[in-house]
Amino acid sequence: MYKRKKMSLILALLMIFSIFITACSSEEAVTTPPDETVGNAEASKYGGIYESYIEADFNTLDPAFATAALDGFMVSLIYDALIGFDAEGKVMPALAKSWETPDEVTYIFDLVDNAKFHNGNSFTANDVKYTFERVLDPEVASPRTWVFDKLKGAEAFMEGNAAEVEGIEILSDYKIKLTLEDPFAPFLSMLGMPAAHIVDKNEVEKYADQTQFALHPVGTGPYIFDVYNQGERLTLNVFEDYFAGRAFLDGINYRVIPDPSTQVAEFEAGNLDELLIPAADLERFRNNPTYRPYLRDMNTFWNFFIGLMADKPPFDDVRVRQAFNYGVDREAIVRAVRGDTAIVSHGPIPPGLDGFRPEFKSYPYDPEKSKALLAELGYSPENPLPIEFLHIESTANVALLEPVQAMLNQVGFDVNLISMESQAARVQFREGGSHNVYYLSWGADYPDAENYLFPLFHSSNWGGGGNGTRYSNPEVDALLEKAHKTANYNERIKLYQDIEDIVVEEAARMWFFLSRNWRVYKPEVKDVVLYRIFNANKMLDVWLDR
Amino acid sequence: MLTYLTRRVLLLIPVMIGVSLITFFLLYFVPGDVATTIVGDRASDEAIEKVRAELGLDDPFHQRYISYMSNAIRGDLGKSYINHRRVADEIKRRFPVTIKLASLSFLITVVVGTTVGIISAVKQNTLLDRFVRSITLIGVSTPVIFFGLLMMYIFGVWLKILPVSGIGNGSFKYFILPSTVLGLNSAVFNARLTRSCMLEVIRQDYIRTARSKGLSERVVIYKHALRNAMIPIITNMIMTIGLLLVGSALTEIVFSLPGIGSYTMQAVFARDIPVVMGCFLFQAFIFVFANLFVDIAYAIVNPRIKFN
Repeated sequence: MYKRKKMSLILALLMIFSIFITACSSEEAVTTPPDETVGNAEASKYGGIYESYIEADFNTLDPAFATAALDGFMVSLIYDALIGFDAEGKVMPALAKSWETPDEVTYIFDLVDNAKFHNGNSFTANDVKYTFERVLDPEVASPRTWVFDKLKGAEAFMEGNAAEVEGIEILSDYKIKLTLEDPFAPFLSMLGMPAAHIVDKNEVEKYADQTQFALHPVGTGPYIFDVYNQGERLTLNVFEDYFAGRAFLDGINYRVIPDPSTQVAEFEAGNLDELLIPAADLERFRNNPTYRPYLRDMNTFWNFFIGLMADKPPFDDVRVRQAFNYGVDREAIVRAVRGDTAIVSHGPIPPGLDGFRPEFKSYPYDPEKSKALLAELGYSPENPLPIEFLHIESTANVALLEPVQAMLNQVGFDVNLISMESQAARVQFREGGSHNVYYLSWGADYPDAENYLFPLFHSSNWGGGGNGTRYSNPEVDALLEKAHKTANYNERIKLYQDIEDIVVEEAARMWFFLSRNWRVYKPEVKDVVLYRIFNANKMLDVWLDR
Repeated sequence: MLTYLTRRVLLLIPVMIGVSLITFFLLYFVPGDVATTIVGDRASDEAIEKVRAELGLDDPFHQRYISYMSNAIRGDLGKSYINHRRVADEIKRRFPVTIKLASLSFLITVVVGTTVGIISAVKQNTLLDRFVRSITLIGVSTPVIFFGLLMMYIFGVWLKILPVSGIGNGSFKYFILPSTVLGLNSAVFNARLTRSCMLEVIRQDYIRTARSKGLSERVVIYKHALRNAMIPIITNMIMTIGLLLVGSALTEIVFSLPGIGSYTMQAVFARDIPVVMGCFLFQAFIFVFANLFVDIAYAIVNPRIKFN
């Protein structure tokens, strides 16, 4: 019996050892690689199927219902919006070739006259009107009404008191005028959201049940929906008659590969053209000369934060929130846990958006100050302040939050980390459960500093609207509303910076880090452009040299 | 026999009602709901309320249950709340994948498990037996994810003789790796069970008698010992096929196979009630039938057992 025990112990040790060998990476220095993913533009070739993958099934391909990032990405391949975004997230023309804003509430769009839907129908201003009204139509029940509810007459239309939205006016087949109730500066970039992608009335109304449209999507976009087998693959074919010139690729094959390790294995076996490298594999890829020249990285717009519930004790006291912020060494945790897959975040406005200030710094790690603030309230490491810290169950989250817990416990908090399955946790975030701290991230729906401030800090967005911490400050509310109505761009951005100063001073949240994505491509993949907005990439640049 | 079969099939009804009630009950009380998935993160509470009302999520338990079951009895398993695909169609599409995976895995379980078990029992306490037992010990304790990945790298990435994952065009070669991983996992248990059952039988008087009347060792082992040791082994085997047929979520996810297991798991996480219900009812059905086969198989293997 003793012998057998010894044997199994040896076996177990062997297994652990083998895992260690594979996990240890060489200490070879990493040099900046020459970028081999940029090809010679003149040699661009047409043809080839791009082999890619998605981690999960999407929920819908009907723009009016596309809320998840993956859905939005797919929608922008199959459909077009009036505007699009360049790699940096700046607004650029799409189905609207140009526009003018004669006053603060009016937008007149000149539409392209050569766009066709995949079924051959021509795209006109009527389709724009139909699409926007469809999103607002209570019968359709789109969750994205907020994208268009600032149009003049939208409220009346939604309540059934008007047959049409007054603020949508067709001037000619290729000219449309949109009028807002009040000035709302971010409106233009919101027109690039998935919900604003143009659908063809004939296709939508072909089905007695509109949910069927999501299974047979038809748009004007560069790719035509071909086959989708849930859990298996989605195939898209190139649209030859794309108004801006067809894509280089003949099609894209997205396989559904849920497990990240399997994604890596498929890439290493040569079956995928691209791979989003999991954090655990990054060093291995960087140190491998075969892959090193084909690595690309990009800071995302995903801002990870720790939310402090401001509507109830103890975090209704600004001193507790500040003590929390001073008590965590974000630099050290991010470096140790995320390495090069994240950069420290100092405030709500992420780098890359207008309004971001490189010199702007939030709370430094200062455990003494943290202790002093807690001492004012009578707490100390001997008599700690208990807090319930809720997060979504995942090993990555635990790895990140356990050091946070340890640091906070040193200054006088008593952190109870509660891990919950995703759906259950989301209900808690929305409804506000017994927790007083939570961990989550916020990504841009459209590239505007407004999107990182209004939903998160305006008191009208309490709970599910984005303001999960139940932050409420009349001064911030007033400034946010003022910014909405400020047409002068620079003035508006200045207002957002003022708001950022206030919410950071008030320690409304603890901004943690922004994720940084690393991708690796096959050598044949040329002219890869990384886009910072999730639905900006229409797969028009990339081509295959094979 | 016929009355027995009829009675067993009729027994399905209370079983299915029980399964549906328990599943529905659990889904009713588990926190989180599908509405948050449908409307996304930045939706107003009104939008959520609207979705909940439309799907009838606010109706009382009995009303929802009765309305679901009255459709289900008529063969309508409904549509997914999230992507509006018909649950029955999806099960129909995925079940062949699960069947392929299950039957190949089952073959491996039976052949490898039983052979190893018999050898190990006959050569008890030899070096071979020890070796086999340590291998099976590793097998029991290695997680499917790790073993799967190992196989993927060896045969898919380095040797490039088998596909890494997915079902491709659905051909046989796509199922070799996942079936091996899944099959060996249950083969290990089967081997250990076979070994202990055989050991017990080998010690019996009638085996000694058989040997002493001069029968060859082959006849003694296969005709006299194995057949008598078969009852628990067959029970285990057929329960195994029942388990394999309801889908193996982990293996399916690791190998990106669109089978019943991964479908069920996804739906549970998304709280997609019609899909969860449809899958569970289907799985219960399969499982009950597998059980029925166990009982019939008993009688065939061992004539002493009567249907009653």
